[in-house]
Amino acid sequence: MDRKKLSRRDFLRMGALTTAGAALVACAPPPAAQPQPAPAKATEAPKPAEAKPTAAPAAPQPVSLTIWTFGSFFTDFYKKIFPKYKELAPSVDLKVEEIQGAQMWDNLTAAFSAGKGAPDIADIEQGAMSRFFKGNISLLDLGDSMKTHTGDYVMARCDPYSYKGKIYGVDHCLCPVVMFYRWDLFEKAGITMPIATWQDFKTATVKLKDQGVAAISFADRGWADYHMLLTQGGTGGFFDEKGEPIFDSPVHVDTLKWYVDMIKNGLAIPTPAGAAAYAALGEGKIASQIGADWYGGFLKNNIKDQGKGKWKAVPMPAWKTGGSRTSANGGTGYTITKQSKAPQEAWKFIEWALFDKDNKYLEYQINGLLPPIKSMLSDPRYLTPDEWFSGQKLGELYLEMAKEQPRHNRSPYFTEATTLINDAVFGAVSEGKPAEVVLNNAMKELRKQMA
Amino acid sequence: MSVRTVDVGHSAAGRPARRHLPRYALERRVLPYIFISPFFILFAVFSLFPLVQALYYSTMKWTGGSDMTFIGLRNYINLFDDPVFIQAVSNTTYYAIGAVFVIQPIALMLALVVNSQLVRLKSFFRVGVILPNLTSSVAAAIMFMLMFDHSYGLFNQGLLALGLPPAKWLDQDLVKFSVLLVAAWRYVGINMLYWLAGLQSIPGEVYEAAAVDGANSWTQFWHITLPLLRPVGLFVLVITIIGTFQLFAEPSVLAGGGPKNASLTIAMYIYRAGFQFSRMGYASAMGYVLAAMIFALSLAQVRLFGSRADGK
Repeated sequence: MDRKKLSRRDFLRMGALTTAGAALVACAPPPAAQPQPAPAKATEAPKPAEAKPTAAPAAPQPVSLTIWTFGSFFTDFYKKIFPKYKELAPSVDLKVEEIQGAQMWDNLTAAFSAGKGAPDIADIEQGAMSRFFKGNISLLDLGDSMKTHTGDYVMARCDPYSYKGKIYGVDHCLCPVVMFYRWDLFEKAGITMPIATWQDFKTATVKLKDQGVAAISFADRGWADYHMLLTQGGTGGFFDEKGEPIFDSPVHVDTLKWYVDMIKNGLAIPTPAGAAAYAALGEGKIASQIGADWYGGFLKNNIKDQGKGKWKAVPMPAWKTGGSRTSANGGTGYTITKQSKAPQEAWKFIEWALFDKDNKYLEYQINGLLPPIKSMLSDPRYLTPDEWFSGQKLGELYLEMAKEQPRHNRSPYFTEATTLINDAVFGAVSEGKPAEVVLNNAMKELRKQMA
Repeated sequence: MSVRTVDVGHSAAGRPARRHLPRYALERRVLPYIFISPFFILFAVFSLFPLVQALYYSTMKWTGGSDMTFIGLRNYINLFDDPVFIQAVSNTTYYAIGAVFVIQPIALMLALVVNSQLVRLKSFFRVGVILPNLTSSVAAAIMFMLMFDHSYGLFNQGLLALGLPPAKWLDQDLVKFSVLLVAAWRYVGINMLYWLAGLQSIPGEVYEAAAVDGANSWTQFWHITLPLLRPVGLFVLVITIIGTFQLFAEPSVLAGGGPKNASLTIAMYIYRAGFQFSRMGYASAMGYVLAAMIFALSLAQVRLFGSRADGK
């Protein structure tokens, strides 16, 4: 090579060598995320600080905390409480970044893979949580931090964010599932609510079918309704405590058979997609729907005046007398990433945002999400009558349901399981395949994916 | 003025001759490369490097964290044993065939109509037909999802008005057709423009000569228009295959890839495997297989139709 001249070939050769070198360097696995120093173990979130007697403490170091969230209903809440927190902790600077929807999970995945770029605090929706349980978990265990709150916090709300006994997230909200129903249609059919069990519901709602109204709707190609019913029954959902799939068990098969039976007998109809569902509910073609408290908000906002004064809510019918009359659906958890340089400060902010009653009421006003904290639920502010729901004090119902919310289990393969259950439900409901066959096939496929 | 010494070859005596060049001459040699380097740097960083890295990841079992295990070609072998991947390939092929044999003939027909002497306000029709392509694919798919609804959708209301039974547009039997319908609405316009450009490049004298020889419209279309459109046709065919094999938004929004993966495409499955199931290595392998399929199909098309397009 003539070193004095730079030919085109030489230039391209240098470019290729540089690129190859960069590729080799970058192909090395990223370094494991280094947990930040904390008073406790590196994989645990910091314990609550103890009061110490003393000399004047050193001036706190300035700390900057970044929060990633995915919806304006959280962003608005954070922005409203940041000034208050600044007064309490002047050395802490808070910043919230809103990344819409699924993009946020992708960004988090990329940040965890790269080993940098993740926020201190991430709001992770419960359905997206399982992907972050795979491999080395990049979130801090908040179990120790929550120990002082277990008496008051509804611990079932940590279940979507827990794996193998460790708690990686703490939910913003209670998400109690109830049955929203058209009281006028039920009254016209001569059915008294609430109904004690699902078997009684099946028997009683024949009268609605005779009037050309579907008693309830269930998804024909989705897992959520089936999961709510399973969890209500105390099955733990799709997985056991060790994270092993259990949806080929007799109770899972029987629940799906009951579900299919309701639709086959015309007592339930497949839930229409999107806006059509609200149209059907608004027109009285479907007389009831199970859903979390936030779903009540969706009903109100989508059916609007057409449904005002016609809806009420009652506990779900239980699977057996004395059994749980509620379940859980949805939720968003506060998490602290291992990349946080100030996990202690991050937890302090979360603790203040979550366990301060005025903060929680402010959040309720912004996004309608009830606090998962038992002592707060009896706050009169949550017990006001709701005109749309025929003047009912829904807060009283939710307070009662908070005591019964069943626990369930999650797994790193929850997303895979829900994808397979979607197909199983569709197979059973729309294709008429036996429940045990579709669930068995789903189990086999999931075990293959877990291998 | 700084001076560099540069070898300029050999003297008549066979010894290397050196000539002192001024600095600006050296800069003249280097500057062009500096000016073209941004493209190469960007290409290397954003195209070549991710390609190489994806190939590396495709040989790994990797969830996206720091735990990576080398498994060689296992991901590629597992792909061909994966019924969901096979179904995704089958669905994608359906869309590609539909795009080539349904969307393109409609686009060509529209181009012929817009190009004809009988149609006035050609610009208005050109703009009107291209408008769907300018809308957000997600917004369009949401709109179609509402129209496809079984109970309240516009299409079923139309069928009922005609005395026909409502169709389950988003069920297993019809979901792929529904996706194709949305794709047709969205992409016919841009393809029409490609065909139109081809039609307008055909000299009018050829048609005049044919008319003088007694050729009717159909004969002119079959023996003049189509053969002369072959280069444009090849281009359209290649980009149609490339675009269809990367279809994502429409089937994802309309049906989530379901029911039971009936509308799932390869691109959707790559996203699902990588970002929902955290199987990054597997998704990388799928990406390479998709790229290989697109490359093979494009090469086959160029080989089969390209030589005829060149008239060789």
